Amino acid sequence: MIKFEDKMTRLDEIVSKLEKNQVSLDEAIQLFEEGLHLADALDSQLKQYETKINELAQTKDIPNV
Amino acid sequence: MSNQKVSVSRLVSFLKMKLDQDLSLQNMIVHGELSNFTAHRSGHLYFTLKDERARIQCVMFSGQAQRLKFSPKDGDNVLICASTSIFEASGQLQLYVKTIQLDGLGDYYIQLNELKKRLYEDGYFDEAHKQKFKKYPEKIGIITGSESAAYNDLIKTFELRWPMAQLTIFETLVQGPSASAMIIKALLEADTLELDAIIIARGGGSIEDLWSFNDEQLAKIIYHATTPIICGIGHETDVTVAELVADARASTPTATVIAVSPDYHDVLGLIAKKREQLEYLMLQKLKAAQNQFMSLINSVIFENKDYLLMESTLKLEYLTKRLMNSQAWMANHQQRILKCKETLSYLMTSRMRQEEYHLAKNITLLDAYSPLKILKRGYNLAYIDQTLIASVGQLKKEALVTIQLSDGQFDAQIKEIRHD
Repeated sequence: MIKFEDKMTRLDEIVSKLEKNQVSLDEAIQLFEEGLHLADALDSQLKQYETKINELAQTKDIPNV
Repeated sequence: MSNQKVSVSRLVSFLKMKLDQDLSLQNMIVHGELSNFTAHRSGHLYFTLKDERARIQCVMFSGQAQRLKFSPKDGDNVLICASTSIFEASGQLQLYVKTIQLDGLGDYYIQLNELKKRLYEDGYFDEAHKQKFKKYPEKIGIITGSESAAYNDLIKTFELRWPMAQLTIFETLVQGPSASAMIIKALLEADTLELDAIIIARGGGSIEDLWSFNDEQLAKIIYHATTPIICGIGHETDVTVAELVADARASTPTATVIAVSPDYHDVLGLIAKKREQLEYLMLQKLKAAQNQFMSLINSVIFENKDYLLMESTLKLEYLTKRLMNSQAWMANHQQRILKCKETLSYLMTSRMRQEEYHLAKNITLLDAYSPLKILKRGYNLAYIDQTLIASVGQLKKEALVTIQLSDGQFDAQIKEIRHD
């Protein structure tokens, strides 16, 4: 599962590459598509999440100090 | 008071009222030594507070007594916060105690400062060792008191700000003698879960309340943890050791959430902006490619399709012309040749005729001059020594002479020579 952070980093990379304009037209179109997919995925990931709480059962027995 | 007689209850009541009304007797800080300390079954505490010259009765009700951070005993030097009143039934003057704390509070501070100094020198607070937090953390551990205000604040803030967070909660005590052991246990376990961050949080408190966070072992565990740790402890005055060792700290539990996670609305905005950028850049790129294409299309070569062919066409025309010219020339020459041939032929024929005529003439003349004809006429040719005799001078007497007639010859000898 690719982490959210890594996807954001890749999106940054793509924008940067297109800005520098050193890629061929073919490559640019591929990167653009990838970028759009990433943006969509990140967007929906952010919107669909709710705070997920895992409560770990902690022993309430207090060790005798 | 007048000389009227007054009942005991009225007197005591009056005295109580007098005391209760005096604000300076409420919420005082009194220091002294504890003695006759009794903890009743009900939870109320009864004791005497004394110094060298006087003593006063004290009571602390169970409600407040519960909150004591230590177990008071006879001989303790304490500071109490209390109000003066009278217990009506007994007419007893007493202090109604709200809080008690050990008067050796300076000890806490000395201990704390020594610990901080030592840990600092050993490098436990070094900035270089502190880890960076992920920009977009997904799995976060929380160590905090069960159902505390801190707990609720943290959950609520995450829900509003970064709902993407998957929280793993460790409920521990956050004060008291067993708290640091519990926190350590929780921390050690949390560190194995490959979380992106761990939050240790609790609400505000006094130096004794927060004492667990000044535990040396806890500090060392925090230092060696592989997960980045942020402490949000609402301390009133001094920073705790745990906060100093941690990779980051915030002033309140809520502030830790803000420090550790982005606001997801901002991130949504950022993504939207990136998407715009992508579209814009792609559009630019396409436009540039299109312009390039258009300029190629519109360039001379395509405008004037004939341009490429032009030179070849011209050349072709030129060559064709020359070819045609040469054809004419050829035809011309052919004609000339023909004419020449004709002329030649004519000339030859003419000449031939001439020659023929000439020849015929000569033949005729020849025939006419032919000696044979002359001979036939009766003339004779005379030879002497094969030389033709044309003159008598050539004659010698007695010489042999050959005479040629038209149809033969005879030999003769000269008898006589006569000149004409």
